[in-house]
Amino acid sequence: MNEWIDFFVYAAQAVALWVLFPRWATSFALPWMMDRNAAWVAANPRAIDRASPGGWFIQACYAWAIISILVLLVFRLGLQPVNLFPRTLQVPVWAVLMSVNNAMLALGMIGYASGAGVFLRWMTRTVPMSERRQATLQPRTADGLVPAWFRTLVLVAVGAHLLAWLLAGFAGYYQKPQFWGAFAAIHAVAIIVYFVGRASVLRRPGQMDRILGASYRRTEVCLTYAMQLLLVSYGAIALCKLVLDIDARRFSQLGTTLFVVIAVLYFTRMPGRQHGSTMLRA
Amino acid sequence: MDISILVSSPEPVYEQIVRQVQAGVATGELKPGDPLPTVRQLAGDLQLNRNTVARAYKLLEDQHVIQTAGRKGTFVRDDAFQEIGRIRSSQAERVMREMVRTLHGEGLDAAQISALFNDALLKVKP
Repeated sequence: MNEWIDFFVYAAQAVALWVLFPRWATSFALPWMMDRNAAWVAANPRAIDRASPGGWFIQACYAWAIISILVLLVFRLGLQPVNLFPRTLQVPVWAVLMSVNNAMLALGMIGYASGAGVFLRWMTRTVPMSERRQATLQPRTADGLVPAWFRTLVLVAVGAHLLAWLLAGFAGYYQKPQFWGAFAAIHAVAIIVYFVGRASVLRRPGQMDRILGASYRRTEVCLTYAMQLLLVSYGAIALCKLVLDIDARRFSQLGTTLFVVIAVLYFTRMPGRQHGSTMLRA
Repeated sequence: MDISILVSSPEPVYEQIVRQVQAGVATGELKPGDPLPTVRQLAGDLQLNRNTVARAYKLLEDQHVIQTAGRKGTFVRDDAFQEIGRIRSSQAERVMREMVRTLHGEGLDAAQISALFNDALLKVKP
């Protein structure tokens, strides 16, 4: 497979995470403040300037997207200073791109979390909490949030996946000693994702639920179900590696990256921008 | 249906919950057989102590507005609408008695109170 495909998948992720997602997320700054205390925001119009998208934070995100793509391009073209990165000569280009992407992603996430933290800290210190609290009288269950066909699909896939591992394990169809370790690791993550899904169903509604409505929690819970499918595909790839000795790390990494891109595109289709601008006009 | 509470209100929080559930039944937003959230969910959503929500649910159960069916959950009773009507009638009767007692105390007789009441009925629109 051509390594340009890896490059474009990682570049798409950089655009999704550092251009589309921040633009979408920052459009919620004002609705967030208004949800916290609309009367206070109305009495302090200067605070709206602080919440307006287009500030230093979003510019930094755009800059990081450009830097990430340029760095990936440098490594794709083999223009990196070899004396600084001697190991890049010993591994295939797809593996180099994978490592570079992971490093840029980790740094970007630290920066993004720091910027979001600064805003949240400012908001919680500046905007007083309203004394009015809201709740729905509708009970929340996974049945009401995830379509039955999707739940069944995930259940069947997880069951088949578990069965395949157990069969391969007990029948001795594996060549590596770390088989049971990999089995435990994958299923431990699956259990954690299951509990994350449960927590998504039960968690207290936040500002985003009130701003976006029921579709926000539905999307969040559906994503945790989709993550189970992703884990199943990871498990299948790991099983191929252990039983058939086929290295599919590259494909699992590209699959995860595409999942992230699709998830970001799905979230950014939610009508946050319009809502923010409507509230601003009001 | 959504409910909202005001923590700083002089009306106790559990009474705000009871009043809004009753209003939901009266307006038809809550229909017979509709499930209600668990005490845990509602307490979590409103950031209240579970005992506060449990107290509201207990009161609504005592008023025959809701019923708890074990692990199946809590539901609006089939006869909740009629019960709300009875509750409101008895509440109105209590308010009226209190008002008549006060007016008697101010020296007004039955005919004057009746005339005042009829006058108020004509002037105050629902």
